[in-house]
Amino acid sequence: MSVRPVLSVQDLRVSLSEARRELVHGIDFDVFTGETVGLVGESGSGKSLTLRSICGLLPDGIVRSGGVVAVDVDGSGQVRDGADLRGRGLAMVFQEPMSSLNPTMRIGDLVTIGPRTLRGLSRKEARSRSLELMREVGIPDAERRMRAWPHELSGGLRQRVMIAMALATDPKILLCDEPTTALDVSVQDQILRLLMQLKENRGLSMVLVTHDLAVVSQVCDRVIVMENGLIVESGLTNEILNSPRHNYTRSLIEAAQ
Amino acid sequence: MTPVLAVENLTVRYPISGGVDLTAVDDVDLSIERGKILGLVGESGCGKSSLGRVIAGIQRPQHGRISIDGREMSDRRRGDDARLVQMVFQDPASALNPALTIGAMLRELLLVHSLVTDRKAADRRAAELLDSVGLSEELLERRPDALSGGQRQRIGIARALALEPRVLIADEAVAALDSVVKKSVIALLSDIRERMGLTIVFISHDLAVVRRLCDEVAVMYLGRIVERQPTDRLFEDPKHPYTAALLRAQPRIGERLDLVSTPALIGDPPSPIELRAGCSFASRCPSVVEICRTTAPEAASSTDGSLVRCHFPLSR
Repeated sequence: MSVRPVLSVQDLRVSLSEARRELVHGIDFDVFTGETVGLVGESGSGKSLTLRSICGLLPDGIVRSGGVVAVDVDGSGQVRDGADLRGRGLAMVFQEPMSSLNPTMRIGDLVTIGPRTLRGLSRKEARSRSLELMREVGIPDAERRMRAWPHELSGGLRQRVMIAMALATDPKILLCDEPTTALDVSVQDQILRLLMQLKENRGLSMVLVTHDLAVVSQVCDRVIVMENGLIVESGLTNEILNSPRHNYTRSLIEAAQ
Repeated sequence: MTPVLAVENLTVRYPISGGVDLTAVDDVDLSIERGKILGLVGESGCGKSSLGRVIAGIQRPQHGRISIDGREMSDRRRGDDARLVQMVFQDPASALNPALTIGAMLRELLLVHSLVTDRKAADRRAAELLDSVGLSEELLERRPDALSGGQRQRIGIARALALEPRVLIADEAVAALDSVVKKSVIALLSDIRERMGLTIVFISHDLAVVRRLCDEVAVMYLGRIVERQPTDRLFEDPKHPYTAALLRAQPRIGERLDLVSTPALIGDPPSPIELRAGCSFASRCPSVVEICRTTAPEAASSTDGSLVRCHFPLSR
């Protein structure tokens, strides 16, 4: 683990742009190379907004109203703001693979977007890169699946497609927003395995937003607990889950058992 | 004792393009004793929701019989028969009429089904119903959008209870709720069963919730019930390889994902459009042998209602 964080969030504030109501109230955390950090809390805790503001993908009407998101993609110490990276170095995996994939585009075209536009590959190069990515994420029969539409795939395969799209630009940090929440346990198991394998093989760092503490326990090195736009507790996963200090964390753990 | 709910040879098919059918529920038998909570689990597309909807009478089966208290239901339930089975849906926001206040919605239900004689009695009953799901009667004046997710789901339960059903079908009724709210709604369902002796079919993909709430569990795979056991036995000593795999796939607090181990289940269930010969789980079963691919196993049931549909049930 390097001493310099690959991602450093400082005094991050997120607000409704109209009402000027603050939703995330100045939070700080670091993520180091190769780490998986879990961001947990109930609906409305601000965990998803925090994740989305890291890569500048906040929903309409919500803005980052303060703070710094410093990303050091290549470990050189030269940091850039996450929102300016636009898919270079950072990539996002969303919860609902059905609504996040354009239903009017074939799988092959979807996976090719990244290599074409962000890496400037030719059509032919992009296609072979896409095939590699689809195989890397364990899509069987990838060549044939290039021609398929999103609705023709199962939930698990759709999530693999989304992960392949996220990998297209060789990101160093993967931001995952409830990546397995919409999936069955058996498929969740497969997708978590895939994410952990990719992390190992590619040396990725990962921020995982989830409400499921069992998933956190399975894959996260550290966990950050959020409530009402604030971090109430953070630390090593084992320590937090075994001896939570904050009442809110305790109630989450109790409810999950 | 006559079971409250008895389902025999129930089949549900959906026509899809090209003149082919998708078999969602394949010749299912199921019965439940009064006051029991039966968990119905399985992966997406296994037919658990179709089975629930058919039992509730909001969808018709291709064939099969459904009896409540020993009396067979017709495909079109009229009068009191229409009340006997009620559903609680996953997303109470879309299951409640946004234009009506909670009070107006409950009043209409009670009057339409002649459960009360006048408006005054309807209002009294509506307040009682809210009380029985742990809500203040002040909410009667509110519309669904002014309620939290947990409150809405309690209203969804009150709406179902208003019709004094014999059986409640809860279809992923707590899946959309946060963990703390989820826990309280589960406690409410358990309490309702105690107080009213209501019979509940609890459809869920969440095994942890099912373990906490249900007396018995039926596991569905590709339209069939492959195993049924009392809850504790099912979790401690699963007989069907599919059940065992589902339990193994379930993450638990305090356990790390072990990348060296093989995944509990690989791939997806086969297509429900072209049902093949043999056991439906054969294509993913870790202990498959030749007979599994050629001959579908019969359901072996015991006197306590347990059932397993496997040529080689697991032993502890």
